[in-house]
Amino acid sequence: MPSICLITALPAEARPLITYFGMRAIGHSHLRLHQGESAYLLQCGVGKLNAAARTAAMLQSLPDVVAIINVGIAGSDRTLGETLLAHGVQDQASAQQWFPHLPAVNRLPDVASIQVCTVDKPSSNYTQELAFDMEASGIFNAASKVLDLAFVHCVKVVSDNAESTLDTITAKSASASIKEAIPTVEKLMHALPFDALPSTSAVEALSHALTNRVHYTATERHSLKQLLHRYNALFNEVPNAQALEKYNNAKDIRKMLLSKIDSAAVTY
Amino acid sequence: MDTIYIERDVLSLSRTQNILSRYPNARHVLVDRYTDVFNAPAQNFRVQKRNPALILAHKHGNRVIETPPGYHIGGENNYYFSHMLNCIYDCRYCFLQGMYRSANYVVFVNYDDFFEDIKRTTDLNSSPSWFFSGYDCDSLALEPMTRFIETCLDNFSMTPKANLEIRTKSTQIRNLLARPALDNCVIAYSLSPEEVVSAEEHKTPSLAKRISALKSLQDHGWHIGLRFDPLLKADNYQQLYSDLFEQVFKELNRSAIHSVSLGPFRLPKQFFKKMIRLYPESKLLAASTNMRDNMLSYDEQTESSLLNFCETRLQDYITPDQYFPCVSVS
Ligand code: SF4
Repeated sequence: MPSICLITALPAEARPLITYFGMRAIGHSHLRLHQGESAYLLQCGVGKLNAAARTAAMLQSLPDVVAIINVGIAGSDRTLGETLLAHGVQDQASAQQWFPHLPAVNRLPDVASIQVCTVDKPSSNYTQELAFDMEASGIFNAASKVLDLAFVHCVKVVSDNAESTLDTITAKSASASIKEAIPTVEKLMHALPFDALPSTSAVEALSHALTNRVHYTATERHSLKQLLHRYNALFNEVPNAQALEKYNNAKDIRKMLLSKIDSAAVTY
Repeated sequence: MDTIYIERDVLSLSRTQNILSRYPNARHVLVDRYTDVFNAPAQNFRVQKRNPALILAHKHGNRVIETPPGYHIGGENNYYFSHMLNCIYDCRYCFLQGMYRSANYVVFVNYDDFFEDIKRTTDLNSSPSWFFSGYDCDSLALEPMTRFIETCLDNFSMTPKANLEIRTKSTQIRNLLARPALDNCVIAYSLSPEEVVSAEEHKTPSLAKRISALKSLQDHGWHIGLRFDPLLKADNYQQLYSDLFEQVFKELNRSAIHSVSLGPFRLPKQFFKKMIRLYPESKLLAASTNMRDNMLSYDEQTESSLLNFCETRLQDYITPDQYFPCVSVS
């Protein structure tokens, strides 16, 4: 599975996930990061600014991360402990919104969806239609600059409602809530549509090898990748690396690729 | 349908409720404007195509638009309209992939506003007007859910000065066969060689099924149109298109065909750039790179050989007054 990063705000939210996924801490100068076999975990701290800054820093530091799931507790006029999937995330202060593209219902059959509203200060204006949190909009803001929203999600567990208000939340209860959400998080990880993306690894590898050996400007590198993709599409394989060894500059490689592409047979 | 976004303003409409009732397990998400979802950044058309969401919305203005020059089948006043954006099919050459950020389906549920605009536009012109449906979608593919065309035909039956073209690849024709044919309506099928259908027109009905639908419609009295569009280049194009014409015309009453047109393969440069990023493994897109006037097309020689060949072949089957060279959607 490609790399997914789970993001929580609090250590109490992170702990059950770290344990369940068998993660260990990765030394990083200013991020609290853990790594397991199936995912990373970032503990971003409280509030949307921390969430945005640390999500952006994590994405820069771990370029292999291609999906993010924010897992946390939230307030809503729903049953305590209910796990909810965000169908929308709104920043209350700016009114900016994000709509994650959700997996098919049958991949997460028993999980209701809700609008997550990120507030700057804890809120007790509980309704059935909203789940209040303090980080999701920051995470979505930063992540959506880099990732498609089919790969950025938010799972919230109801931790407080009109009957059991915010002041009743403890580290222990927060951990217990997140533990409840783990099956949903795991199903969501498996439902992410990585297989809908084109496979680019062969082109990436050859382009990497060529640009290491021969000098390419940034523009030439871009056009090399395009040509390799076209070649790959037309011949169902990338050009043979050995056959390319006799070419020692970007121009000759381009010329050779273009001549092959132009002569490719197209039949139906 | 797994997720349905609904504009708050249309939630209570009976048409909205009817559509919602077809998908009892779908998640419902209320939004202010459909554009908040549909035009949002950070969407991937290809990924969404896997399980597109439905968006029910109100279309404000610009419902009936003049067609680009050359887009006509003999009429003087030509317009198109789209009660839907996007399509359940997945043709690799489709310009919608390059035009929209989202593959979600938008259905504009204020049908009556479309019909009022069509009527008003018709009344403005002294000669008959043509209205083309199926520009930003397939007209019939989601008909069992939207019932737009059914309502549309009811309206056109009362407006003889307005002509309708229903453009489709769908074989959802049960409703059309259950009502009398309208003289001011043409059901036009986009047709390609079966080899192209299998390779490039994903999830569409086979050529044989489309021909069979055309035959049933013709037998029922509907005017039918044939749109060989887009014409795709291939080393074996002569064989492909000769076989296609043979297959199509042998099944139909040729003299009763309303119109036949050919459409060259064209894509605006920006759409093409996006499409090739989405589908780098597509042979069709990889083999096409000639840019003319900011449009991707085949080089002039290839394009004219294709067109000339097909035009010549068509002369074996139809008369010149049935033929309209380019009615291209892209
Ligand atoms: S049927 Fe038409 S609208 Fe639908 S995907 Fe194909 S070309 Fe596009």
